[in-house]
Amino acid sequence: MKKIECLAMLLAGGQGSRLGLLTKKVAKPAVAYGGKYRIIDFPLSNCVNSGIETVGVLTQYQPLELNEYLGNGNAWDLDRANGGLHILSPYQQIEGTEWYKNTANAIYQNINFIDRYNPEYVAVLSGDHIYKMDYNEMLQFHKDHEAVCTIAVMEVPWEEAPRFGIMNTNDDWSIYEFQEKPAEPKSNKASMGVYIFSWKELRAYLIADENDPNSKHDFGQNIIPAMLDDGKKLMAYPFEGYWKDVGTISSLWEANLDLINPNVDLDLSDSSWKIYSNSPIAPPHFMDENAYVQNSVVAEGCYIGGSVESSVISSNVEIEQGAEVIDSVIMPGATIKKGAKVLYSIVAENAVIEEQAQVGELPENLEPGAWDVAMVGPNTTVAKGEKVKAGESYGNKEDN
Amino acid sequence: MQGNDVFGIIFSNTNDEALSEMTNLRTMGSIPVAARYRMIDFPLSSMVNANITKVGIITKSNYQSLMDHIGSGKPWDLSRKNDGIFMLPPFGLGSLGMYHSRTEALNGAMDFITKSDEKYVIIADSNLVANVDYSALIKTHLKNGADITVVSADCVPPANVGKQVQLITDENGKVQEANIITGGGEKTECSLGIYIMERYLLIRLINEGMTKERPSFKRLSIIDNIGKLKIYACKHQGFCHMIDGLSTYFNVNMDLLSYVNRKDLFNSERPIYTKSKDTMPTRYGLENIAKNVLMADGCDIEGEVENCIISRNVTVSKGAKVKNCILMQDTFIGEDATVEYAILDKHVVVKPGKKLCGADTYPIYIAKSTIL
Repeated sequence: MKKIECLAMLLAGGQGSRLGLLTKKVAKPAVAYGGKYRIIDFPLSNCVNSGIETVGVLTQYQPLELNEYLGNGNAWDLDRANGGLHILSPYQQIEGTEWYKNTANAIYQNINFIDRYNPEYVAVLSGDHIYKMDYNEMLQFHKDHEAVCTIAVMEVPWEEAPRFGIMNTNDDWSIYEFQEKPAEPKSNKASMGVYIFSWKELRAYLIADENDPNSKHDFGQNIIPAMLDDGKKLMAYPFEGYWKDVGTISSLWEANLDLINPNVDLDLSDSSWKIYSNSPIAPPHFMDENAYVQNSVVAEGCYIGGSVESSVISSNVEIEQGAEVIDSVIMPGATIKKGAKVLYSIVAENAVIEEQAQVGELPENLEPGAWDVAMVGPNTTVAKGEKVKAGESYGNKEDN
Repeated sequence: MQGNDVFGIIFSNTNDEALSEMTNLRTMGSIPVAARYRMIDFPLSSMVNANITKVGIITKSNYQSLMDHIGSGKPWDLSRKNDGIFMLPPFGLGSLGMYHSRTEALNGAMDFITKSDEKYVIIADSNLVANVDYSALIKTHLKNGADITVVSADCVPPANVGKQVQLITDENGKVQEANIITGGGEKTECSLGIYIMERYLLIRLINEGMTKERPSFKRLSIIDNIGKLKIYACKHQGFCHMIDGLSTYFNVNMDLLSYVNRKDLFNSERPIYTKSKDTMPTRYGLENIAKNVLMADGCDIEGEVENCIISRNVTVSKGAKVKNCILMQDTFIGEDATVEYAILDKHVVVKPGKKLCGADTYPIYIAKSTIL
């Protein structure tokens, strides 16, 4: 097989349980974002735009919808004669069948796949973040510093640092310590979940890690500390720009609304760094004569007859006359009927908000601190006149 | 052969002269329409929706934009190892010159036709905006045991694009009489230029035509064969317009602002496929007004738009007013500019503060890449 320089392994098997109803039946990377995208479009498009054309996508949790979405990779131009997109699910081996136990174990179980391409470098990516990044520049940085492992980091506000994996670095950006969610961080350089390894080294560490019965087989907790203990050269690659973890309902809601926030540096219309997606077949959207749409994003196939403010409206959504949507994310195929109100909420795919129903609440109508994002789960109907409170997750009976 | 024993042939240069302004640089098939489509998407999607897996596209001139649009045929699921899309540029032995009739064009594609092994062939033009059910056409053809079945509709026959065929049918749809008429005038049952017949019959008709005075295909297939062959009409109900000039082009687009017409054309059972451009959804700014607008992805709307058809990546800046217009891909309307009753071709730039007004009966057309 033709030798390639850098191969990407995309970890897409996580459940994303903090997204509640949204990930009940689909894996987190397949969750809808930004009107027409899914979270996994970001790392995949970054790979293609960076010239990485061999991508293994590791799936495990609820892979049906994700697999269908990925198809043969054509939407990202990853249906290739050499390389391209490969969906890697756990498989049966002579010693038995094993699920992916953790991040490092997932890569370990696919050593054979990586060896087939015999790459110099392997990028390990996660399918949980919204960001645009040139992995090729990071690879160059990795090569320039002759590192064993390079980890992309982002400076986060100090008060948020305890929520992240923190890299403590020397002046030359080499890492001397890794702290997972430290109570008292020594640095504000948070790991972005983007790693580049020299494959030969990583391969040896994965095998050693697999043989360690005390290991949790996790990159952050085991592989990186083991490399640091051995005095290997680990570099932090500083990234500037938009990057957001969309692991919770409120962060997913925020990341969507960032698309229409003029103070946020997230532009998906840049034709030199396109975000590709497996677009649904839909006609253009239609604004009828009663439509009132301010500071919002509207995708194809929609019908807008009501009023929409500061919201993200995904493909094939219907917002009937007299309906009101404010600061909300409406996912593909949802319907907001006449006179219904959706305020500061997420309405998931194919949900129906019946007439005069209300989802969520304006923060100013509540006591300070009492407000949170409300959510209506996929394929759920909120009955006529019913109310879904701020912070509530409203799902189908069988989903609860 | 895969699928249903039918293959398709589409003429991409149908009546180019009717929209000479726009076909200067492209074929009828690649004229942008309905905010995100090209004319050829309609017959092509109809074929795909009827499980036809092999389509030959006959081209004549200016077909670069068409080639670019069609690519490998992937958006229509026609990028196949077997079958798929076949581009059929002018072809012939010696100096045949340009085609003058469909008969000659089909003769140029004879190799493709004879090498195909499907029993039936559907032939379609690309000047029709309609979501025609080709499965129903195939069914009707087989049920009637017809030699030729032609799709018809009750409509005002298009003017300015040569002669039309008026059909007079009995209660079973059998064509009793076919008349060559000039366009305009009263509503009547007309041929939409979509035919189904056996491949062998098509080969015979072409050969006959080429030994004679190379008559038009409508004459060769229908007019000359009334009483000789079993010719049936299959009536298309619903939205259907043949483009015969700038004002019909304008009206057809504007008709899609009606819910009923959109529901019919963008029938979810038979989707219209087109090339995807991976543009982000459209952004509406603060203080914009958008009413009665059909809008594609990738636009930035800060100004006022009303009764418009707006294609991908269009910018309407603050304070601009755009009413009763068709804006094609990548047009830019500067701040405080006013545009009314106009068709702006791709990449047109209207500078800030400019005014541009056509009339409702005669929209103005601004050619590709013009800067005003």
